[in-house]
Order: sequence, then structure tokens, then C-alpha cells
Amino acid sequence: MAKTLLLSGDSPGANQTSTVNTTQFWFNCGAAVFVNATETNTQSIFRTAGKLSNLWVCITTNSTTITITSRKNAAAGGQSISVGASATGNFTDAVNSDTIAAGDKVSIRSVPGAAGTFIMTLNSFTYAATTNTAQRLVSFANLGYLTASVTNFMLVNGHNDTILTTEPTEKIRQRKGGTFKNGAVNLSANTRTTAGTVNSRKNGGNGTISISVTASTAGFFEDTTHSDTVVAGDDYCFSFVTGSGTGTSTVQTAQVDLTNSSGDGELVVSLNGTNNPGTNVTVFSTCGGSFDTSATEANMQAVVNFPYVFSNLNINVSSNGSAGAQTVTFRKTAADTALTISISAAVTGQLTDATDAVTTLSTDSISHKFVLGSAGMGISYISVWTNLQGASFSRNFDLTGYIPTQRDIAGLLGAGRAPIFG
Amino acid sequence: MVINITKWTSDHCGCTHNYSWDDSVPQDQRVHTYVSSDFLCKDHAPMVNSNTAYNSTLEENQRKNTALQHLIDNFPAQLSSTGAAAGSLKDGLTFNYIVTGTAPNRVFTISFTGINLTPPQRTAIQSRLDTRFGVGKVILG
Repeated sequence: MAKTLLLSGDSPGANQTSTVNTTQFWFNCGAAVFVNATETNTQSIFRTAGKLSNLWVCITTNSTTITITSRKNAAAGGQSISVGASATGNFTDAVNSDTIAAGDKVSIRSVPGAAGTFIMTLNSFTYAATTNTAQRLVSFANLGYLTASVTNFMLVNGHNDTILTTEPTEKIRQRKGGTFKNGAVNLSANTRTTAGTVNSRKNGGNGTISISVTASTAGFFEDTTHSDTVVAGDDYCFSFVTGSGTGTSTVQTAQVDLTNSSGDGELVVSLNGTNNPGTNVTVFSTCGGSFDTSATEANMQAVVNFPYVFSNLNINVSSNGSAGAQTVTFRKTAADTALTISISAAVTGQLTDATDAVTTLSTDSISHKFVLGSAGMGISYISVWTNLQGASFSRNFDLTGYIPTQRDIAGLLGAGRAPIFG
Repeated sequence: MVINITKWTSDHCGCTHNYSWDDSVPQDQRVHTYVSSDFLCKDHAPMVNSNTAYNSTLEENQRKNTALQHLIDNFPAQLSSTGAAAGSLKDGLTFNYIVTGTAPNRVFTISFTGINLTPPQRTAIQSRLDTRFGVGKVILG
């Protein structure tokens, strides 16, 4: 079945920096890239069987050696990366994989060598569900919900940085149809004296996914029974309603599957609330995980590891006082693509390039570029959609200096297709 | 020269419009040209055509957003995240608005949650809004 890219990212900072001589674990599968000492906090739980492959990390700073491995159910997975002394850049295990069964919990572990630290800004897996296409979406939180009888809203992917009781900036507009299912929350601690409820939210109302979080109980809480069907144009997020008692529920992540039979995957980079990347400046962000920007594109580029077709670039602009137009562009290997959005002066709302599509090779890297105006703009998320089926080379594609890999050809062929070389 | 099309759904009325632009034109000289509309809200649907509806949607949306930035710039101590002009809305404050009337002459009534504006402050803000947009276009509620 069609593969999806489970991409996590963040800009380099203290939360992306390892600790000397310490084994640590990393949030993954679309969450913000945060390091954590406790493996269970970082786990993504899978309910859709399939295979994880192409474990990939971006190391931007390094003064040690590192062994990075996939983890399945708190034990060694099959994928492993060795990073040489003080080496930086992109590292992939392109050979091994992990077979995933329903209920498996996945994480990424790092074990440093000699004294020294490193910074990881991005990580990803390629995921192939056994049946249909599944995108595991994970939003990082690490938030303590303690106010009684309040409805809090959460993103389904990326970074819940603060507790929000308003919904508009948490909703992610879907650009293709599909089914949300297998909702989950992971609580690392819970002293609430009454139960809380996690609901899916579709178009401003409760969806069918509903999870009751037992008082004073932590761990994974899931609804594997109910699902929400969405069509293009639907808005989706989560809510967490606290009960009437006292205490704090500490939520590490919220998670859900987006499934379909069309081969579509959704990459979302987000930071809850309204975030202005700057004024009169050009900056870059990752395409998945936490929305933060950097003037250095290399810190934000993710290698796709499979020949996807990207389409439906979408941005939610929640504030905009700029006097002129601003631009968001999907980038392929440090070059602008046809996927680009121009935001009119002082305009807010959802903006989409629903016209263009960009084909990538497995070695291409992706990022978003923002050319910002006099007042910048408030952004809550940017999304872009992936599809593998139908990817094709143009007859005029320039292969000078590049030899497609076997994965590229296999991915492009699809069922019943043949390569066309001009 | 590549002509791109952007689909925009306004956040104040829900209309969805498409406009084109030329990516070879520098951003500060860029022109957006109306192409089509996917959806017109109940307030803009009665307008004479969808291009007119787009223009009205655009004017309203820009008026609402420009009003907010204009007030942040001119009342930075009360409203600005940096305490100076060109900041964003101060943390803890919420900008609220409703729009009433009939397009293309609809009126925005705005307010702020999280701050108690004094009567002299309210008078000064309304005066600023009237000067910037014309009397009766943006009202401080």
C-alpha cells in the first residue's frame, strides 16, 4: 500500500540537545522533536499494522559519536544508525525495517559515545500500512491540565506549546478526504480526582472519537472503536475536557490515524496559537513537527526517502498587519517549487495552492520558505499532502548527474505502470 | 513567468475565492487577480457577481486586520506585545469582532478581552479608527 512520511521537526535549541553520556529518547511521527529521558513519554502507539522503514535523522551539531535506533515496545527495533565522531548532516538506515502490529509502541533512542553532546532537529520514518494508506499523526504537549471543568483544545499533529481554551487556531483544514481513527492520548502523570474526556472535534463540534481518562490514572488511553469521516474542507482537532475535581493531568501526546484508500498522506507543521515568524525577513521551517523558523534552511530540510508527489500546500493565517503581499513556498532541495501561496496585504484565513503538484526523488529534501512583510503574519500551521500513486517523471526531466535508485523506480512504477524515457 | 493560483477562505465570513499572480514579479510589486469563487457566504452571495463579492470580502478582511495592527501601533502600551509599534497583540489579550449590515457597506464592531480601557482611551481609539477608516466603518464596542 502507499507509503507515508512520518516527519518530526523543530529548530535547534535546548530541547533538541542531548545530555552528556546519557541514553535518551526522542518524540517522533509528527510531534515536535524533543528529547526525553523516559521512553514511555515519547512512544507513538500504532493500531494500523504495517512496516516502518528508512529511519532518518538530521544532526546539526555534534561533539561525540552516536548510535540511534528504532524502538518497538521498549526494546530494540530493527533499524539502527551510527553517527561518527563529530559528524553532522543527514543519516539514514535505508536497509532495515520494523514490522508493526496493532498495539506496538514506537520510539527512537540515542546512545552517545564519549563525552560530548549533539543536536537532533528532525527525524522521520517511512510507513507502509498493510491495508490502505495510514498517516500516524502525533502532537507533542507535555502540558499539565489542572483547571477544573474546562474545555481545552489540541492540535492533532505538531506542537501544543500552551494550554488553549479557544479552538480556531487548533483546527487543521483537511484538503482531502479520509477517515480519522485510533485516537489516543498518552498521560505521563495524572492526579486529577475526576475523569477527563478527550474528544475529536470536526467542524467545531464533537466527532465520534471519545476517550475517558480515568481519574488518577496515567498511560495510553485510546478509542479504537469510533472513527470520523472527513471530506476536503473539514476542520479537525482534539479537545480535552477536565472534570470538576482537583489535580493535574500531564499529557505528553495526542495521536490519531488518518487513513484512506487513495494513497494520500498529510504532513503538518504547527505550533498552537498564533505565531509570527518575523518581519521583513526570509526564513524556513520544517514540513512536519513543530512550527519554528530559522534563517538557515539546512536546519529545516528533511530528506523524503521515497518519491512522493506533494500537493495542496495550505496555511492558516490568523493575523496579518503587513502592508504588502507575503509568500509561502514549498521547497525541494533548496529550490522553490510550483507549490506556492501569495498572501495579500492584511489578509487572514485559510490559503491553499490546490493547483500544483511537485514530484520528488527519494534523495530530495523538503522545507517551507516564508518571505515576510512589514508586520509578518500570525501562523498556526502549514500542511502539505503526499501521494505516491501516479508519481511520474516528465519526458523532459533532466537526469544529468543523477541515477534513480531502485526505490525511485519501484515507487514510480506502481501497479500496472511502465517507465517512459524520453 | 508562471501564473499561480491561490485559494483563499476568509476567516471573517467563510467565502472561498481563487486569485492568480505572476511569480516572476517581485513580491512588493505583485498583483492578485481574481479568478473565481468556490463558495460565497450568505452576506456576499447576493452581490451582483462573484468578482464583486471577492472585492468586498477582501476589503472587509483587510479592514478588520488593519484596524487591529493600527491600534497596536498607536496604543502600544496597552496593546502591543513589545510595548512599541509593529508588535503583535499583547499576550493575554483577545481581539474580538462582529460584522453587521449589508455588503459592501458592512460595519465592524471590535473589542478587546483581557484589558479594561478607560473612557479617555476608548475615545482616543474610536477617534483613530474614524480617521483611518471613516466614521461608522469600525466601531469600538
